[in-house]
Amino acid sequence: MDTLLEVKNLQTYFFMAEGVAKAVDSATFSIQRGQVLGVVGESGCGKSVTARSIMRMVRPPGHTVDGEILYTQTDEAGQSAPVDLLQLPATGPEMRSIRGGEIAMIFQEPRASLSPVHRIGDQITENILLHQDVSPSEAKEIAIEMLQQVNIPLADQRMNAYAHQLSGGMCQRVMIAMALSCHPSLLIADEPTTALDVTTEAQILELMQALQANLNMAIMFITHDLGIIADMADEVTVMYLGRVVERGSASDIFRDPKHPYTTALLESLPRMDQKREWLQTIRGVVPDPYSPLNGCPFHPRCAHFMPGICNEIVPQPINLEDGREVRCLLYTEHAV
Amino acid sequence: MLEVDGLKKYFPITAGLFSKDIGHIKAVDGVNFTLRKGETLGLVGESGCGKTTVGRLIMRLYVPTAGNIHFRPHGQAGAHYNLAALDNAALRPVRPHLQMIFQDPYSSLNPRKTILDIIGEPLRLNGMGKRAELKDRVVEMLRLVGLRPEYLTRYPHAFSGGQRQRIGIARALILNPTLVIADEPVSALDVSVQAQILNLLKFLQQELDLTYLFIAHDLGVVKHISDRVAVMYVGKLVELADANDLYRKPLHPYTEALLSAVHVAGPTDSQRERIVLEGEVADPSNPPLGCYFHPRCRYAQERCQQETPILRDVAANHFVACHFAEELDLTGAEMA
Repeated sequence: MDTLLEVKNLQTYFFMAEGVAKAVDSATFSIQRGQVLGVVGESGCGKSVTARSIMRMVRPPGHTVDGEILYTQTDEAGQSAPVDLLQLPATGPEMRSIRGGEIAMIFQEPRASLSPVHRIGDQITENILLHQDVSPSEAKEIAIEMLQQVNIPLADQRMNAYAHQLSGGMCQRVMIAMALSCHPSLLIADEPTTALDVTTEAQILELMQALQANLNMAIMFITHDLGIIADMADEVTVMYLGRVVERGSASDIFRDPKHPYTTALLESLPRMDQKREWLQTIRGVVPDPYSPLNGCPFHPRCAHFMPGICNEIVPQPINLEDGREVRCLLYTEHAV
Repeated sequence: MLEVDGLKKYFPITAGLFSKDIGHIKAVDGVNFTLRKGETLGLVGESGCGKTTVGRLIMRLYVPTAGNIHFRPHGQAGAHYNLAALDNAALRPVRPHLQMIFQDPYSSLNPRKTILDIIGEPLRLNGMGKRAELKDRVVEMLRLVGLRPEYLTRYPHAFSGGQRQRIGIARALILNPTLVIADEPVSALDVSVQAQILNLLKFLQQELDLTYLFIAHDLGVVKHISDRVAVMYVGKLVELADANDLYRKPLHPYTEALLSAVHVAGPTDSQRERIVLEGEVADPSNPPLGCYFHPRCRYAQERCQQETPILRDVAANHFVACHFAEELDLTGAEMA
């Protein structure tokens, strides 16, 4: 396999007056070149903070305290070598050239991510001029070409538009155009369609799939929507309370979820293709991040809770057959 | 119990110093439907289609531009009110029968009031119940929605999103309403909490013999909770049928496209064709001639550009507004 990004034991904590919130707590996963990794979990599970840690965009009181983020950088001669992004200064020249250039990101609220007082053409051109050695007029050409690639009609006229003149779907297209203008090898998409309508969402997802195939780019697709993950992702990482609880290929995870949390999430969804009188629920709520739990963080809500075991022992990642990984004591010798 | 007939709401677009009317946004443009006692009617559509406005018109938070809303809270034999024709004073005795549950549990509760004040307020405003009586009733409601009575003196900030939605439900139900309008009640919640609230709504419906108008954009959720489903597009109903019929065999091309855009959280074995609609939702201040959906419809013919289809009964209470409903063979959702 051709690993593009490997995250090892990532720990990003927020040091608040109330205590230390372990937003990301030893997360380990990897993304292969040209592949779509789906990261799924409920709010507060740390999926967005993971993305921001990779981009080195975590702001105080948040700090990445430990871990490695190995990004395989390919130089002009075609030689590739891994760099640990955490060793680079967050605002230094290397990181600035990677961020927005080799690793690009799009966000949930497309309109809030665009500047309201600059023309969209200028915003895209700015990014191109920052990362590529081209003249302003060439940059403009590239920008128009990118807008055409994301299917914005009358691209050369839309260059002069402001964000408020475009619909939400159009703004997200502009964000994608901007993100892809420097041919990133990894696109981090943080809930890119959550704020959009169903039919607009379908358009954006289709566009992302087409571009991904054309440009051979890897995507880290962060969402709470398991349905989108099932359609878009090759590999899936399930997060709960800052930890990766399960990883595997999308088809395996949806066919045969291993972690009780993944199972419960899938069963709590109302589905069009199944008649369920009552939905399965996960008891309780996601616990307070300031008061860490002993043992497995999911144990108070788990249907397979083993007293004296799950609330005592911290589960470690366990490799199952066919490259799957699960963090649950049910798969250890502790299980009865 | 409720009969909505030719309901219209036009919002004026004003311009200039004297706020001269320069046009109208036809938010709701001639909507007809009925609601039977004890049933749930799901109302789906994309943002801006007018579904929330329909709910607010029935609540009489807006004054309708035209149309009638016949409401018989005690069944055919009981009192009859035409909500569209009543003024505020005449509406007072009807209001307790009509209650609303809102989308955002974070902004719909007053942060400076205790739970006792929030849930008890409808009783107090309607002069029902003295201090002690009121408290008993609030405690009873808290138990009914699955919250502990000790929470009475707490403020909204102490509760999670799901708990806040339970508080909003308790407040809506304390006056023993007959009709509850739920406007996107679960779209701000996480999957596991969403399942809890959907189960609660279903339980309360059975327990208290409630009738729901359930407004949402998530087709899976709507299918789960609804007996019948109405689909709205640019201020008009395009299809209305029994939930199973509508999902299994949609008769309107817009419904077909919506269904095909749903991502099912399961192993993706089937190579189902996804219909991605071109373009964007029509502008309700300047809708196209003929069928509002024709510019995006892949089955559109010349007649669709000229003639606006009316909602008609095609097969056993399956209403559809499409000229070619009988001829088209549309694909529904895969169902077990």
